[in-house]
Amino acid sequence: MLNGNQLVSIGYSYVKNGLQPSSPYGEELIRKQKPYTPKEYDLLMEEYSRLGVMAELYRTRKAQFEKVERALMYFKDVRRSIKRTESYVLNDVELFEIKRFLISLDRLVPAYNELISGSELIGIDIRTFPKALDIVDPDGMRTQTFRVSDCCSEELRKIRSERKKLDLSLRNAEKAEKESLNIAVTALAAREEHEEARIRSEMSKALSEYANELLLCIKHIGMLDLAMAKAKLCAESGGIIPGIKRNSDTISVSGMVNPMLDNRLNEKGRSFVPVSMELKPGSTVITGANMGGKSVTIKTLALSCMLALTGMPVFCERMELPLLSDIDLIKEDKEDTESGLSSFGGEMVRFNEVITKNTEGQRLILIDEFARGTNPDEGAALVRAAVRFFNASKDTFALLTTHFDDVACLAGAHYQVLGLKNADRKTLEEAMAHCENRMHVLEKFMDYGVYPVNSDEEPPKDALTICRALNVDESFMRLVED
Amino acid sequence: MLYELIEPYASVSTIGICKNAGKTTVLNGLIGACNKHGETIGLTSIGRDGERSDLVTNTKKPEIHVHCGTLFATAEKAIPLGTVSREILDVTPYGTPMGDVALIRAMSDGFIQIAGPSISTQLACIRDMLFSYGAKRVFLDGALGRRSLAVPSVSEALILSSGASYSPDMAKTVSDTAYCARIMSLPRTEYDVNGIEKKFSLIENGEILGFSELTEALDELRKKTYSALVLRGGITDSAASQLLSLGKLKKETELIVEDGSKLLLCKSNFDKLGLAGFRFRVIKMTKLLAVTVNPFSAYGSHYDKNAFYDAVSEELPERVKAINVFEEEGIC
Repeated sequence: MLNGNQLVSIGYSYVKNGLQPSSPYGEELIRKQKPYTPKEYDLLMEEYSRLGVMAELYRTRKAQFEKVERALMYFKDVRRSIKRTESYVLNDVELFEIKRFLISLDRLVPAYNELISGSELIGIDIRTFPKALDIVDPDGMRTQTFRVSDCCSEELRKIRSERKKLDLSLRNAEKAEKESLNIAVTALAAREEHEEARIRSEMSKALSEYANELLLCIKHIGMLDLAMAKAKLCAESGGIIPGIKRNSDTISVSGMVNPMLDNRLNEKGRSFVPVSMELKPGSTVITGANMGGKSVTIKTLALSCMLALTGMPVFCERMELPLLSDIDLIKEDKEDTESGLSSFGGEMVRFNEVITKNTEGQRLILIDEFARGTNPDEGAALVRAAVRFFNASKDTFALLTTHFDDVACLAGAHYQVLGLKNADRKTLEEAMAHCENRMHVLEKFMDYGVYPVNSDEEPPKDALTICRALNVDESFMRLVED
Repeated sequence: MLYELIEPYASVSTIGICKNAGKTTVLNGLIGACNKHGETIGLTSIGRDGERSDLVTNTKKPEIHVHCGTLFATAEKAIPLGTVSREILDVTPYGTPMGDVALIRAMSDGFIQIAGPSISTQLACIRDMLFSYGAKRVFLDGALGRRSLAVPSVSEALILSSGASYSPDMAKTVSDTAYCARIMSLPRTEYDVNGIEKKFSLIENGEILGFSELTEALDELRKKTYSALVLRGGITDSAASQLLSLGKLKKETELIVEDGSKLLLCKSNFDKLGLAGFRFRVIKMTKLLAVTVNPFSAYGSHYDKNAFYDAVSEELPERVKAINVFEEEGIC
């Protein structure tokens, strides 16, 4: 499965950081998010169903949606205190926290019911606990503060009223009287503490009866918060729900965008060119010009599939895929050279790990410019072998990018980043000659789209044009051309 | 007299030059005075390291005594150490080694233990929460060695406590107390230094030259004279040595820092910089209201109470009062 650095580099973390939960419970679910396994298919479907309902409610009942969001903001994490009721006597602060939680629940539930009424939200059960609240708020004042109330015991009421009198006498007492009064107050304070501790012990025990139900309710609050955060992300960044079919033999996506890269391009006044493609089991190969967006395509497909596996919205017009059991991305990695392996060595070690891994179910393997670090003859042989190797596996969707010739013809499908292929060379040369910023011109003429092409279509050869756009020294370029 | 001193200020910090300087006695005096005027007060402290050390030196420490209705902020585990009957108003997200800081209303008279946060922004938040729950005045009990937190962003005014527990040598106690008081009552600069972002800046005739290294600023200062040098951050003894390497300045130059807590240099360097022609100024002034003196030492070497009081009074900057803790009405 993709590791932490890869999740950052493909833009998954960027999308995840865009989720803005309102409660610590939702925040935790986001932090601990992990891909669903094929066995958890039904759970993933439930999660997407909740997202669908919430996205619809965000559209149609925005005011109620925001009311629930505000109610969620009042929650603090009280799970520790709730768990402690089972074997400890809670202190004032812990009982305060539980009381606040129960009052916050009283605020959330009506707003929540109003929001979801008539909708088909599944798997979430959030309700109030009036009896549990009565335990920590026996006089029913429902104030936001906590004190062991006088009405908890006659003894406590008596001690406190006695203490009040003594406090007053002590304030007005002469020095000589003070000492004996002080002793009496200290004794009363100790009795009060003792009685309060007894009551807190009873409260804790009574609350422990509700502990499991409360913890379950908290879990559901987190799930609600998560679904709402995703729904907002969908609406604000144009996410959709992917179609996930058990054991489907196609990964198909159209109009796919990478929000992180799109954002970077926007800063430069450009935007991401949406990608569409279809993968069948076996190998699919992408060829194309340098700087045309092959690696970006690989990353974006990894991102979309990873989002789909974790119940997140995907950023495209349409996506269908099976519930994959694994996604691997192999590319030259700086870390390998840091750990003492050459870039080629590191890549091969990683490749071997991936192909010898024991996996069940369908998997996606993405390989960016495999074997580019070695000589072109053997490199091309390695890539061709990889393509044939994956062709033989009916459970593997493999997507490889390469510059080598005679590779694509072996693959099941061939895509090409057109780059400068269809650009009018003469106009391009002229534009570059007359413009200081050649990169800018190049970007304009580049076709960043990814298109299906015939399997025998050769990779475009635009390296020299690109060198010129990058202002590589003229005298050197003449040598190259000679 | 204590009440008149603090009357104009909504937030006051108390700090001690050492343990057992009589700081808590002063705080109790302030609380008592406000109680008499029927004010609802709020209390918190800057950390809580004083208490434990007092157990080590085994001296009797007067705890903080409050009236019913007083608001205070203290860490969860310090709550049961007090004797007041209490109501929990709120729990803050600010953690301490003794648990998160809670806001409490005393529901009876009695003693409390306060242990607040040690981060000035958190202290400022807690101070404001105390105000919002109805405190008319907030006292911040500063622990020793946390002088840096008694900054203007946390409290408007300051009371410093000094006492014989500092050193058996009265002359040393007096001199160090006076130094502390001077640092804390440095005058405000008249230059407009808002918007200066560079770590070191020189000012002359309204023009500002910024540098990111002190050495660069000093090279410039060697070439020509400037009216002021502004330092974002603290002045340490090593920075002082660099400044002193300039020799005697041709023209008096203001040495401007954020506030007194940014002066982290020893007294002799402070004096030397003064002699070299630097004039210390601050951007934000903390109002040092008074220095309280306590002639009793927790370690037995007491001072003569009148001699100590007189010596401290003599050395204090103008407008800062010396107060003998055990003679001030309402303290004992």
